[in-house]
Amino acid sequence: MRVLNYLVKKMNILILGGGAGGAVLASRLAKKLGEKVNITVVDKNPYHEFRPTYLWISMGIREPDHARRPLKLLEKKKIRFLNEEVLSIDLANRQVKTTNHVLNYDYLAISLGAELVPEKIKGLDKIYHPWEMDTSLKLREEIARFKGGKVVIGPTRLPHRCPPAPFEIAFMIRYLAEQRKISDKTEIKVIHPEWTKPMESFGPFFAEMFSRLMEQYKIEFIGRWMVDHVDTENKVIISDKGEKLNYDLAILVPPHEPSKPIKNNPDLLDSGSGYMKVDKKTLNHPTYKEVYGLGDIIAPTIGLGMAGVFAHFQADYISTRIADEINGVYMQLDWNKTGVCVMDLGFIGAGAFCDFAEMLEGRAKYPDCYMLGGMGILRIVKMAFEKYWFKDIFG
Amino acid sequence: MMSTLTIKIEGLSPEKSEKLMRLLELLAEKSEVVENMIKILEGVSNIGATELIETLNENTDLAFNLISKKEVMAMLGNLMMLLYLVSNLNHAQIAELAEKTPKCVEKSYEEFKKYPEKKMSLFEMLNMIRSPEFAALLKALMNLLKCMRS
Repeated sequence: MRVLNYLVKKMNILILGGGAGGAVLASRLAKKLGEKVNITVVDKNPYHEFRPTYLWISMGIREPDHARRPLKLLEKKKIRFLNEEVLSIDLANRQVKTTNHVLNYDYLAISLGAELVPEKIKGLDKIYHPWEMDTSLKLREEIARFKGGKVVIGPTRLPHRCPPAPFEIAFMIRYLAEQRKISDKTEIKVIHPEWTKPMESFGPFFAEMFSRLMEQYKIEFIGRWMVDHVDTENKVIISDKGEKLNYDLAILVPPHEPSKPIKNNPDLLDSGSGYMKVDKKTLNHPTYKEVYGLGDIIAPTIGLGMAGVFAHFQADYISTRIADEINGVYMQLDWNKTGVCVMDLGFIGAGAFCDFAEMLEGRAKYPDCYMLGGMGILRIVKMAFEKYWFKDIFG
Repeated sequence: MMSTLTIKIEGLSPEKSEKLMRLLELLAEKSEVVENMIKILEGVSNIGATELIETLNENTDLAFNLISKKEVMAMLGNLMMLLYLVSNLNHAQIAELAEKTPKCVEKSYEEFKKYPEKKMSLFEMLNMIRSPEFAALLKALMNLLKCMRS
């Protein structure tokens, strides 16, 4: 039926969100389908941001423009970009309302990500973190003033974007302290609301490796420590059990929640995960097959973590599926359920790779993970990937 | 003596004209390098390598996805660990091994070849086990196993 539709009119593909999932999907569809379709991307942020670079921005080795490109650049690939906020999604009528438009679609891809809600925890609005651009810059100012003392790092609630990042920051702070010769008077603690060991969800091998590394660099891990509130005046973090942690520098990841058009829409909200409803095998909406979900907005529903690499591979897969339906047949990339992460641990760069396929199928408790070595040179690999990323999407 | 070269291209913006002028000047200045590069590229093209590069270039969007597979990453991960292992071995010990191993292998191979077609007697075997070398080997092996269990 869709092939017949294509014969009479150009299909409208609407992509909500210009982050890792949305931008990659738009770019792939433009390459695969070109003039056959109209592609529109909607995002309230005028920029596509490469979030792994936020950590380097807070450490002063990268500037905001290194980490972002205007989404308008997608127009080079004949992709329309609307810098507007998505207000509501009407699946039955195939209609999306934005601040200035009512948009109809033949295919809809929802990649609206997760939003940070620091206001859910008292005192958290005054604690900065490299999970957004503006808070990364504020954190940079705090780190610039840091002269040693107690550092507390960690997520406040699960799920959150990039689970290894709190550990990465801890190592970076230790490295910076060494460089500033204040390491002896710097005490670093990583807290986690659920894990009992570092990187526990990645399996015993990773937990062991990270525990050893943290011991080596004098970083303490405190598991099952859930932040209740922060007393910013007295610089104390209080847990749900009433335990206290004093800090001179706190880097706490705020709670995340799905963006409003999903949260407020019972057709889209999965009651179990609290995020978007999708078929775990195909990434389609279970009822409206022309609707796909990808990235952080579906991560808790399908049982994956929130990370750009997952959104990227889901975009590769969804673009193939849509091209297959529109062209009649199009054999290309299947859903790659793996993740690669290059971490800058200050002293070294460390690569990690995990295959989640068996875990997602329920045949394994943990993903199959590999360490791709630890060398300073891997920091350059991370920088090279940042450049590749923008080139790949925007040309 | 200066000469004038006139090229007429219409419809260029002043910015693009300036860029082109700069490029032409650079081209004239580095003509020898450019000529050599053209010859090299011609050779590369003649063996079909430019087509190979072009194909890779057209498919860079697939590259990261196709590399991020267990078969590739497990190999890379294990290779990196082997390199890490090698980089952590004691250099002085490795240097001694590098120096002595060829000689020792040669000598032991000679012994191996000239050993007569006969069974070793129990007395000979016990004597060998009581040798300082055998005792040292057992000690070293035990220490290695103890260390691995730690």
